[in-house]
Amino acid sequence: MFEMVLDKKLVEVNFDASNKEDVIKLLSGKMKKMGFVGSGFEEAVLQREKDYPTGLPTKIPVALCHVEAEYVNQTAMALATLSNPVKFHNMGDPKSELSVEIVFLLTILDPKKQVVYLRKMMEIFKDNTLDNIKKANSKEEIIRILVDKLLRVDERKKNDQEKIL
Amino acid sequence: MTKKRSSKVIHILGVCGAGIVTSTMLAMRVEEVLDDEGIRCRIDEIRPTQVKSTLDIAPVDLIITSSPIPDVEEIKVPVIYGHSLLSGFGEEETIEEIRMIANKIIDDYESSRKKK
Repeated sequence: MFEMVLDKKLVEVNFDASNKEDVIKLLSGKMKKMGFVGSGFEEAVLQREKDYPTGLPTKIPVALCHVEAEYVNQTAMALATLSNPVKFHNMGDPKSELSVEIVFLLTILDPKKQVVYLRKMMEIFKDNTLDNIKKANSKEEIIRILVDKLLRVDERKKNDQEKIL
Repeated sequence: MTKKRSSKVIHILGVCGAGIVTSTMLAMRVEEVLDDEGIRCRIDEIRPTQVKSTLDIAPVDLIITSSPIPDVEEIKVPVIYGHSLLSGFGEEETIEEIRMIANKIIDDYESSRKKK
């Protein structure tokens, strides 16, 4: 199953977190409840974040948490917008910290088969989508934004994906 | 598809912490940039700890990474930090760097072929 699941059960709006561990625990718990991840997932995400941080200095700073596929049963995306920013280390400069306002947690089974989604994730980081996600007041609204951005596959991208498959 | 300017295929390692998401994203961007330059490439995605062993067994032209690589100063292949391609912050400089290095690799390859 190579579709990426976007579900409002995987979304949290204006979560009140005091640190990154809070957010990772929350999002891992949501993935677990859906049955999308195996045991040890949360610990693996926390550890990986320590070893290889995923904070990005986008217009609205984000973190893009993920782990190796061995903990994952389903390709999906969870995310939380935060009422107060929390510190994540910067992917490109692990010694520095970023005040992250939106946290994504990706479970990816096979990135080669998710190229379309990953490409669109990169677009989201650069256009005004992060602003719209940050401003959204409900899980439904966030899902609508994401479905619109990620699941609308145009022809050129579709061809790219078929080439890779 | 842009016309290719050389038969040389640049071999690139895409490196990120889990060797999954970020390296794939970087690889896609690099492919786009090089395709526009008319340069062929092959990208393998690996973790930082696999870089050394991969360099031992495979001819690699260029490394693009989002994570620090252990003992990076011992690596003879050009290493580009590519996280700006994800964040958009400083992206143009990184793309220019990739273009420059890739074109130099192609030029070196073509001129060494002519000598033969």
